[in-house]
Amino acid sequence: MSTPVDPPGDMVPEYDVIVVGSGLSGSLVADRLADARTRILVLEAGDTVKDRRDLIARFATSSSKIRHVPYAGLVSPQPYYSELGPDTPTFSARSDSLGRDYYVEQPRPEDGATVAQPPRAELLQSFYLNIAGGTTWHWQGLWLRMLPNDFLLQTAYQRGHDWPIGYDDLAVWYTEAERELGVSGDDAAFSHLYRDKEKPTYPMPPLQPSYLDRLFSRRLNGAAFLDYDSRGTGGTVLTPVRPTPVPQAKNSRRYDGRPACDGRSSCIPLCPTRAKYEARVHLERAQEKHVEVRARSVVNHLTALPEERGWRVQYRPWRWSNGRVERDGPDRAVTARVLVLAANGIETPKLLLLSDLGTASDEVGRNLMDHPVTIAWAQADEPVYPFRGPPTTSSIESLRDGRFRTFRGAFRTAIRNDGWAMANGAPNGWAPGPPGQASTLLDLVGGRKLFGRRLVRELFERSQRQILIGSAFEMLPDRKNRVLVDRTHLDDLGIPRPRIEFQVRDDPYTRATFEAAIRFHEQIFDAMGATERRLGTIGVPDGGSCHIMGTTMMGRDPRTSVVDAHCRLHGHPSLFVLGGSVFPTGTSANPTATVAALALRAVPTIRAELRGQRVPML
Amino acid sequence: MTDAPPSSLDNFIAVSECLTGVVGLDAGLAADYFDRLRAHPRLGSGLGMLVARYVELVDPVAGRSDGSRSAAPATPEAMDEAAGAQLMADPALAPLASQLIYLWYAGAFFEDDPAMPGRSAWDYGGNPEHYGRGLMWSVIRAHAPMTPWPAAPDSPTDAPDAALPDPYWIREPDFGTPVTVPPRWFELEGTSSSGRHADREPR
Repeated sequence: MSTPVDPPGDMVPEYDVIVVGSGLSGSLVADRLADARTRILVLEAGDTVKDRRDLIARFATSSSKIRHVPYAGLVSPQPYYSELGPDTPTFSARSDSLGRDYYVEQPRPEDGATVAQPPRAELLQSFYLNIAGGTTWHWQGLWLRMLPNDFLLQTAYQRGHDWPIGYDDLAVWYTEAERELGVSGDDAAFSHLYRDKEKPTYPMPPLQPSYLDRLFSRRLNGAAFLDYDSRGTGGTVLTPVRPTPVPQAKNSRRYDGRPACDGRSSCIPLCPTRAKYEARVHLERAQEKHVEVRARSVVNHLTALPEERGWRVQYRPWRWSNGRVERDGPDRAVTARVLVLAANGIETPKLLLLSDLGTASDEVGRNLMDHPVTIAWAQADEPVYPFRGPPTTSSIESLRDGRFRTFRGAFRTAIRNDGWAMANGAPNGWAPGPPGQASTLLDLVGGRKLFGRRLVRELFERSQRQILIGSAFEMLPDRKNRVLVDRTHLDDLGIPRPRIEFQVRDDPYTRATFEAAIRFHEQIFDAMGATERRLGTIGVPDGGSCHIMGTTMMGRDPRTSVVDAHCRLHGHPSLFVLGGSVFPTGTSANPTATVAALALRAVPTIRAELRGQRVPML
Repeated sequence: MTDAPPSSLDNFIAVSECLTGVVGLDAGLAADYFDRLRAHPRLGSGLGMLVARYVELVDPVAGRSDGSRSAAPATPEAMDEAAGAQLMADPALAPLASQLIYLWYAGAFFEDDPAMPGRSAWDYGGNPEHYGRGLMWSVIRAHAPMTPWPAAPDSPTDAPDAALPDPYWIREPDFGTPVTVPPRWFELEGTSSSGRHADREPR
């Protein structure tokens, strides 16, 4: 490692706060802390977006149109660009790297050798964006508060861990985040899940349910789902289920200087109109208040300054050169009194491990969790007119809590408005499919040689009744699922890449979760009179959710957790860790609402630390 | 101009209408696709032959598509249908005919992916406008993701300040409008009609 250039000899840290990562947590904190007297620096590993129109063009001209695509020229150090080369055509599917090729998950082959792909249950099928503004550029924008029992999984259901905080500690911060980001929703239909706790009142009414949603609602009127405990205790749980509008960080009316959603149908990977919230909003606001942001700066080491003066943060600047990433001069170092780590659930633990921090427990990097997904698709028995509106406007939240959590994980079920797009790339397709049940342009023209008016009729007929649902389920924390530093595999900047050891384990709890979700999908299909049904397989996740959680878990005991109830590294009250990595359990909630609430909640504690009025370690 | 012979572009539009099943195809887009097809390294040289064969098959004077000289004239629609079937069944012409359909329906060729042997990919020729104008979106009564929902002629396209009282996705599509090439969209990105979403570059 080259010798970093230190600032001139000076024991007073240059900054009050350094924030590592300009995603949701980092941008919210930087914005909230910014004032005339507070010197704040945000270090961002990725690049900055210059023009949204470029992102739109990149999306429009790409082949597969998957999540990563608009950002392919901006994110670093992943995907692992040295495999692409400058001659790869921009339309090639090879350019649409998911970003997962940056992980070390299996032995990398020597040139020419092949390695069998591990089964999908043994891969982390999720990734993130190293870019100014972070992964909220491509997130779907669904907004789910955790439920009161989500913080009490051990006490209530004898599973996993309890959090050291409860729903009451976060309620006011959820409300603050919903106002700050702009959330549209109406929980009246599932407010019973909050029990006697303070319920959300969102700043905007929900995005209106689609025609397709209302058909589902009519067909599922009065439905209930039956859980039975296969351990043989004889217990059953019957839960009423119904679709409800899903709360979203998207404008249902003009809000905060951004327009109402007008249904571009591309929340993922990019909202072209800014109706969907992106952390870019708060990053720009922070910059207007003179927060300094350095992009293309990958933090690679942290050191505590003597006598608790603060932190030395070392980073590696980079630049683009002929489509490749390369170093831009020597490593540099900056100092601050308070450090906020907000680099996501893979990079934050990796940085702690590289810096040999958090070693009082053996938990840094462990307990890696995602929300694995099982999907199901079919033809409804009447037209639903898909491929219109936001990709999801309703969901079934009914099965996120209950006595069944003693023997299986909770899940939430999304109803898609975009037909079979997720399953087979409809309406044009990704590859010609099997001869029977042709439905895409590739099937009908390439496979069945249709043309003319017959093609018009068939493509219309085969598209109008396409339905697809997906359930994302909670995983229990498992210490064997973890992020490590792999010093034998370096990225383009010479920094060790993360090694991921991750499995959706084949145990009774997980099998019961899969079984319940797949059986629930069948029940929904029965209500929809569905034919041509494709259902998931027990033990095989169809994908991840990009919800990377658990790797710097919260807890009271420094021997078994990484951060305290105020998200400070145990033993280091001036180092704050924010993001989904602090979650002790994954629950079934999309994590971003809780990430935002925790970030806003940390701000008074950070201010107290800066004033010399430290909040006691809990 | 009724006495002038059809231009090669006119003939290209005619065979396109036959193969796509959609009439009234946009002439400006047709010119774009004509150029893209002619420039195709593998198939472009066959475009002239495809068009010429189509013209021959639908010529009411030159002969029936089945080679017969029966007394009962086939309708133009039937001749057109038969011509299309012949093109799609001809091993020398079918690959190009299929790609012509893909181009109109999706705005892209479906090609061997040069960077991923054994796989194919959709090639939009670097043209975002073509992506949004694919016929398939109109055929299925939807729109290409990322593009605006095509507005009714007299309704405003600006996203309003108040809540959209009537978002299009809450009701059935309007089947009163014909299937047609969707309107231009990418040229509008960054203007007020698309929500003023050009971002300021962060410092």
